[in-house]
Parts: sequence; C-alpha cells; structure tokens
Amino acid sequence: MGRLADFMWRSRFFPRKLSFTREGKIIVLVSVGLGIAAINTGNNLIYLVFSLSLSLIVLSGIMSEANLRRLQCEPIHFGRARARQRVPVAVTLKSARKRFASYSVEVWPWFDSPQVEVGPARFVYVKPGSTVQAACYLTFARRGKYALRAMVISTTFPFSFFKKSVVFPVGEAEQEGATFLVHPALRLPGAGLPRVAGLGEGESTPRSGRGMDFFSVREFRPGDNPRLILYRKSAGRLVPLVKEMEEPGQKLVWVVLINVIEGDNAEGLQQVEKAVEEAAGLTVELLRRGFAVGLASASGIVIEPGIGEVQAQRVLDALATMPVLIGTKEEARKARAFACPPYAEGEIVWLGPS
Amino acid sequence: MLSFEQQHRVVTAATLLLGLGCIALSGEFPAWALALSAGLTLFGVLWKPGVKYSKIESFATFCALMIAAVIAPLALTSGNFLYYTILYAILLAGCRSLTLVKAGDFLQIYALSFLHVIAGAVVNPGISFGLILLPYVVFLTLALLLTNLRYGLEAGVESGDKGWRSEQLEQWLERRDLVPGGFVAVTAGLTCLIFFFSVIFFFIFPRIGLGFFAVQTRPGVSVSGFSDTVTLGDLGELIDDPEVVARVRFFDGVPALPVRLRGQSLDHYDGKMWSKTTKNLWELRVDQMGRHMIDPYRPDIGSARAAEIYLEPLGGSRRVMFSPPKPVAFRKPPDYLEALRPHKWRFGRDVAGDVFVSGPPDTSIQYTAYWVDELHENGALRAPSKEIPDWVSRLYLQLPEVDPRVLALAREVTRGAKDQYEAVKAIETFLQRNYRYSLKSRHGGDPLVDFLLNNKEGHCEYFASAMAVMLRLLGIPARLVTGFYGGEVNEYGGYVALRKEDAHAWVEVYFPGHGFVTFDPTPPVALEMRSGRSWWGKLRAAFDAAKLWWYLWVVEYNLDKQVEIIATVLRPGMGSGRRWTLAEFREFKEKVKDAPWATYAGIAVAVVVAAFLARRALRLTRARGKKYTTRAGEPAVQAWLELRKVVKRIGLERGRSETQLEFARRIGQTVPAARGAAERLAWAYVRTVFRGEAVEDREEFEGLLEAVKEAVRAERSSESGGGNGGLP
Repeated sequence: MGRLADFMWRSRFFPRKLSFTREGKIIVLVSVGLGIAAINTGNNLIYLVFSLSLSLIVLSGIMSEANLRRLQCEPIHFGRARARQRVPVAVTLKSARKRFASYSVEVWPWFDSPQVEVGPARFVYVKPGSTVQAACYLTFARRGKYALRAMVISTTFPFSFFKKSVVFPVGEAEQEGATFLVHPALRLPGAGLPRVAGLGEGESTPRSGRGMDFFSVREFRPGDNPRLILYRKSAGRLVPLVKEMEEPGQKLVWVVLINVIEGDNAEGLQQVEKAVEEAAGLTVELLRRGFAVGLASASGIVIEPGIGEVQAQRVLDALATMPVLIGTKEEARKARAFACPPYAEGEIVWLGPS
Repeated sequence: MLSFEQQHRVVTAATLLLGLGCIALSGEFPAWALALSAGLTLFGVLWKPGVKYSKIESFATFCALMIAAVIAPLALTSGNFLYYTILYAILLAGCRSLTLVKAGDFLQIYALSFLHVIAGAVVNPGISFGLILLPYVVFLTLALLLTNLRYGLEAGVESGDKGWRSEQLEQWLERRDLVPGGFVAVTAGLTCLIFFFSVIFFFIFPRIGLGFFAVQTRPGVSVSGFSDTVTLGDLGELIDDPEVVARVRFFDGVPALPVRLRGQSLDHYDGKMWSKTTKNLWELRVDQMGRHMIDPYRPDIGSARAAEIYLEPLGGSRRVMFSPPKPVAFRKPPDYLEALRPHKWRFGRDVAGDVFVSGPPDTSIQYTAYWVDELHENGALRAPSKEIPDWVSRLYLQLPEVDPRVLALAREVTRGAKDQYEAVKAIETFLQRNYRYSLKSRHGGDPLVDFLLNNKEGHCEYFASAMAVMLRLLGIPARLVTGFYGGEVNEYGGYVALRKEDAHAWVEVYFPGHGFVTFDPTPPVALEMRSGRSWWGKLRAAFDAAKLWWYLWVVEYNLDKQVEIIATVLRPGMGSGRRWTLAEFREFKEKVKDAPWATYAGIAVAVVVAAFLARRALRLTRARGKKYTTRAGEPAVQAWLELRKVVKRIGLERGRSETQLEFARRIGQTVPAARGAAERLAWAYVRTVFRGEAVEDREEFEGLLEAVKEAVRAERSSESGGGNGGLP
C-alpha cells in the first residue's frame, strides 16, 4: 500500500516518473568518471567528451519528455481472467500531436497489487494525430479482485538511458469498470475426478437438453426461458421464479469447499487455495459433462445448482472472491460442520485442507 | 533500400571505426592491432552469425580472455598501464563485434566505442580528434536511436530458445520499412542539439579544481637546430617539412613577407659546430603593464611594435622566445591561477640578450612580443668605431684554428671597405652573389673551408657560418643566430604561419654603441620558390587556421579564457582585441565578489516556487474546468447537481473519496424508492463528464429527478410522521 500511495502521491505532484535503465546507469557512471578525470587532468578533450556525455543525458531527458507529450490512453477493459494465465488486453493510444511522431512508446496498466505481471503494449511508431491499438499482456498470480489504479505511458526514447513514464490515474467514475475479477486457475483434484455416479467407465454421461423431470425452483436469471416462470409462486414471493427441469440422466453434484484454516499459517492458506482451484476445475469439468453443479462453502456462500456456461461463471465468480476463514481449532471445527449443502440432494464432493 | 538489420549494422560499423579512428590518428598504437580490430569489426558487424549465439559468445569470450592473458603481463612488466589498457580496448572491440545479436550487445559495443573516444581524447590532442568526433557523434546518435527501436522490437516479440532470436523477430528485423520516414530528420535534429549542448557545457564548465591545475600537454614538435648546439647541416633536414611551428599575428597589420623570427644566438664555433656558452640566466623584470622587460634600463618602449605569437610546443622545458629582431619585451596572457600551478612560467635572459622561458613541458605558449626596428643604412652604423667591450670580444671573436686562406679571402673581399659597416656589407654581398644556395651539397673535411674555397654551395648555415667566421677573422664581433625566415600569410586566420621549412640561420654583427645588427648572407632563392598559392596551399591554410582555433579554444581553453568570455559578455568591448590589465581584473573580481548573490539566489528561488505554483494552479484550473465548466451546461450534469441538492435535504452528501455511483447506491440504501433513478442519473453524469458522451435526454433526466424528489419527500414525511408517533 505504501508503494502505491507513494506512486500516486508522486504522480499527483510530479506526473513524470524517471528510472534508469542499465545503460543509463552506465552512462551516468561514465560521465561522473569523466568529470573527475577532466578536473584532475585538466585535459580539455576529456572535458569535451564529458560535455558530450552530459548533453546525451540532458537530451535524453528532454526528448523523452517531448516524446510523451500529448499522448493519451484510456483505461483498459476486459471481462474475466484466470489466475496464472496470460491474458491479452487491447490498449488504445491516442496521439493528439499535430506535427511530430512518437517513437518507442510502451503503455501498461498499473494495478494495486504486486500479484500482477504486466507485459506492456509496445508502439514502435505513433503517427501524429493517430489512434493506435496494441495488446498488453496481464498475468495474475492469484484469484481475486484487482483494481486498476492508473494507466502508464512510458518511453526509453531516444537513447535507452532512462525510462520516463507519465501516469494517468483512473478517475473515480471509472473505478467501477476498472476492477477486474480473476477466477482461480482450474485444477482437477489430485486423484482425478472423484467417484461421482455417472462418471464411471462405460456409463453414459448425460448431456444438456431439456428433460421432463422437475429439478428445482429458483429466482429468474437473465438468459432463462421466460416460459418457465412460475407466475403464481412469483406473485406470492414478489420475485420472478422459474422451475428448472432435469436433463435426462442428469446428476446433481454439490461441491463443498471447506475454506477454513486453524490459525494464520501459510501452509493452510496454500491448501485452501489449492482446494479453491480444484473446486473450480471440478465444477467446469462436471458442467462440461452435463452435470448440474452447486457450490457450498464453510463461509456460508452457496451457489444454487445449475447447468451450463452461466452456472460455470457463477461458481467461478464466487470462487474468485471466496474468503479464507481463519480461526481457532474450535471455530474451524464449527465452520467445517457448517460446510454442507442447503438440502440433501445429489452427491457431495468435499474439498479443503486435509 | 537496406533492411533494418542491415542499416543498424552498417551504422554500428561506422560508429566503431570512427571510434577506433580517434585512437589510430594519434599514431601511438601499433598498426597491426588497429587493422586487426577494424577488420574484425567490419567482419563481425556486417556478417550475420549463422550458428548458435551461445557458441559465438563463448568463442568471443575466449578470445577476449586470451588477449587479456597476453596483455596483462606486458602491462605489469612495462608499468605502462594506460597504453596497454587502450590496446586491450582496441582488440576487445574486434572480439565483441562478433557477438552482435541483441540490442544489449549493440549498446555494449557503443560503450566500448565511447571508451575509444575517451582514449583518443587522452592520446590524440590534434585537430584530427575533433574532425573525427563530428561524424562520430552523428553516427552514435543514429546508432543509439536504431538500438532503441530494436529494443522495442525485441521486447515486443517473444524470444525463442535461450536468447536466440525468434523467427518473428527475424521477420521484423528484415523489414525495409521499419525505420519511419521522419527518422532521418529526428537524427539530424538530435545531432544538432547534441552539438549545441556539448558546446555550451564545454565552455561553461568551470576549469577549476582543487590543487590539480594541470595544463594541456601535447607532444613537442621536434625542430633540430634550435637547441644550444647546431652542427653544420642540421637545418637542411627541415627544409621540406611543412609543419607549422609558429603563428604570428601582427598588431599593425600583416607585414610584407618574408617575416623574420629571431630565436637564439650561438657564440662558440669549433670548426664544425656552433654552441652557446652564455647559459646563465637572470629573470626579467615585469613592468606595470605586465610586460617582461629585456633591458630594465630602457623602460620606454612606446615606439615598439607588437605581435602576438603562438608557438607550438617545442621539445625541452627551457624554450627560446622567438621574436622579430631587436626584441625589447614579452608578455604572457594573464594567468590568474598561476600561483596554484605546479609549473610556473619564468622568463629569463642571458648575457647575449636571448630570452628563454621555462614552464610546463610539452605545452604551447602564446605571448606578445615587442620589438624595435633595426636601423640599417643609418649613418650611425658608419660612425667611427668605439672600443669593443671585453665581454663582446671574449664571446664573439672566438675562433678555432682556421685555414689561412679564409682570412686571405676575407681581406680580399673587404679590401675597399672604409669602415666596419662597409666591411660587413661587402662580405654579405660577396656571399650572396658568388655562392649558390643548395640543400644537396655535401662537404668533406673542414666543411666551412670546403664551402668557401671549393664547393661554393650550401644552405643558410654555411652562409651564416662563413660570414661570422670571416668577420671574426677580421676582428669584427659576430654571432650565428637561428630562427625562422619566410612565412605564409593565412588569410583565414589573419596571421603569418611559419613552418619548419622556414627554419633559418643568419648573422648578427656587433656595432659599438648600437649593439647587434642583423645581416643575412643567404641568397633569397628559396623564398622566391615558395611564392604563389595553389588550391592545395589554400586548403592547407584553411586547415591550419582551423587547427589554431582548435588549439586555442578547445585544447588550451582555460579559466583565463572563460573569464575573458564572461568579461566580453558583461563588458562589451573588452573582448579578445584587448587584454585585461591586472587592475581591471581586480575591479572585475571585486564586482563579482560584491554582487548581491543572496538577493539573486532569493529571486531565483522565488521564481522557481512561483513557476511551480503557477503550474499547479494552471493544472487545477484546467482540471476544474474539465469537470465543472466545460460540461456544466450538459443536462446530465445539471440534473446530477440538482439531485445532490435534493438529497442534501435529508442529510446525504457525497464523501470526498466516494464515486458518483457509490453515492447513488448510498442514496438507494437510504431512500430505496429513489435508488433506480439516482443510479441512472449517476451513470448519465459519469458518461457525460468522464467519457465525453453526449447524453441529452433532458426530459428523461427531469423525470428521474422528479422521481427522486418524490421519494425524498416521502422519506421526509415518513420520518416526521414516525417522530410524531413517538411523542407521548
């Protein structure tokens, strides 16, 4: 946080950020050495070379500033990402300059997290007055919500001695659209798919389709068939309710996540994270095979069973922000006991720290 | 049209070769090393490696280590670390240029090339360094720019196995349209700016230090014939050498050629060699004008003529001060830090009147010489002879055993002379008319006798020696003088350049009551041969003028010249045309000292602070304008501001860190009936202000605002109703 605060503070009062490249450090060191040598020897030709190196440094600063002037970029937008997966995101750079082009420009998003690895979008040449697009690559180390704090345009033009950056903080109004949800990575449980009825060898795995059997009643969600709305029940509850029909041969599986650990220990946290990833992987795999999958957790978060892509997103969204409960041994025991499906139907797969 | 890769490599090759050229032109390093490095550089830079990068890198590293293994012991045993370090840098460039694959490799090679330039600055103070530096800066700029583009390409393209270039990068590098059209203009502009800033930095960087006031040294020009001894035949070796040794700028305009610059006199002749026996020196007195007076009993030198002389560094620490004949004084430019310098300039004269200066070795010297014109054909020289002082007789009548035929010849030549002047003129004329000037003649046995009686041809030393010996045989004190005679007017620099080939010897004859007077028995044939200027001569003159400028304003630029420049800026009219007197310098120093520096510093700080505040204020105004002014008339903004007023009645205000959407949600939590309308208004506001969208559905906004007002009214009434119900 301190790092971010420092960065934001500087970006407010000193909107330019300057850092040395390896070559920049070398030229500065050489210049210092030349200055000392010039004073020590009185050799005017060393003074001349010293002046040359100084002017290279000064011009580097001036030209990089000129190179960044009147370049604008907008905050990036993307839907959802998955942890540890490289995601290309479109970056748009606009040059409001009238005469001079910009060279060697990089654009990258600044997140309030060290968990994000950013591969900047690079523009070799930006014509004056043009709008250009390129992809930057983001890799999120962990699941969760990531807030985009700023967009940064940087350049090492002209001599690669310094990297000068200009910061465009994301405005308050844009914060909403600039928070990114990162799903957990998909991982199947260590021993493969658990023993769930219908997954055995030789057995047919039911596919999606519309069965005749009643499955459940739930709130209407975007994408549901309006013909399935139960109007009477809806009128009684004042919310639109739909009935879900079971696919022929479809099975219901509850994935129960025990997201609780005893004491704040790294190993426990790691195990929960692994369980979250297994829950995500299992859910996606079961849904792909036509199962109805629901999610329950020790923290009380429950996702009603459902099928298809929409259900997968729903479960992954929940897993993305799934908290890890930390408590004493007794609290952990109680929480574990609380981790169960809301109703006893379907098969249950327990995932969590051993 | 070359591909990007080819362009980059060609530019890199040029940069490297120019860097090597800075060192090569010093002539200090072996040609084989330079040729090997240049060859490897060309091969490595222009050849694209076809085998694995790691193998080439290993090979180059192995070569570099082997060279180091050979050079390190040489450096340790000789103790000449600088020489061998530079030699290693030369050879290392060849090795490293074999491994040019990535942008980082190119930058490393430029760093190495820059080291070559630094080394060149140390070992090559000539103008050739400056001439190479100009294209070097152009190519270095272009090379760095191209490398910057290459960096971008490499970073943008995923690399393949272990640093080897991926095919995608190869395709990029082979493109011919990668370098944008404006790149040349950018390079040209940048190069001009680099030159401009370099010049500014060079001239303003103070030439001061803490106890290390070394002066710029250069290899001394070897001019045989100007040492304390001259063997007959020495000067003949110099006749074909066009190197400029001295430049003379006459204050009263460029005189008619030839120009004579007197060096020193030699008094002792042993039959083959002239030498100087008057080696004891006493320091010259300095008058109020800072002039070193040769004759302290002759303070009035008002009628003396003056010329500024720039003398190349001549070998040795004790150097002759050259001047037109009959010098009366010399003046060095002011040296304000002289007291701090380890080597001090000291002017001394001997009994012969020759002036010498001792100071830092291998440095040029610039000074003003004052002299008075000699009065030939003056009746005074024909006046009855006075007695010759003892010291003159002792020094200038000395002779070894001379063939009696020479005396006979001298008597024969001067038979009709009525006085000393006529005798001297007779011998001078005799030699000029009856002897031939030749550089190729050889003289066996006693060279002087051979010249006078047999061969009858020779160069200036023979003529001067013959005249001096003949005069001494007749009892007339005479001495041989060495110096320069001739010169070439350099119209570009406004001076007369004297070259090694202008080295000359002549005679000075003592006239009682008048001192020594110049006579030159050499026929002026050589000078006539040098008249006329071809295009080559003009080019040479222009080059020499540039060379002088280079020495004066680059190689020998110092604090005194900086003070002079400041003085020129601060006090127009005090420039290079006139030197400061000590009093003027003190006055200037006092002014600088008494200047209200604290006030200036305060003003500077105030200006900086004001600029900072003004900039911030401007930015805030712009930001405000962006938020409220430029979009203030938009219906969405007006509706949002109205909404804020409405909800303020029930105590809802937007927090400083709260976004519009968050505030709308908070309104919805407090007044659920207003939630939808408030959120829609917030979105409309955000889209209008931050995204610049034109949301102009005024009627809808009015409807939404009305809905919020209705909900707030209902909320307020319910609150008041609940309150009443609570009363007893």
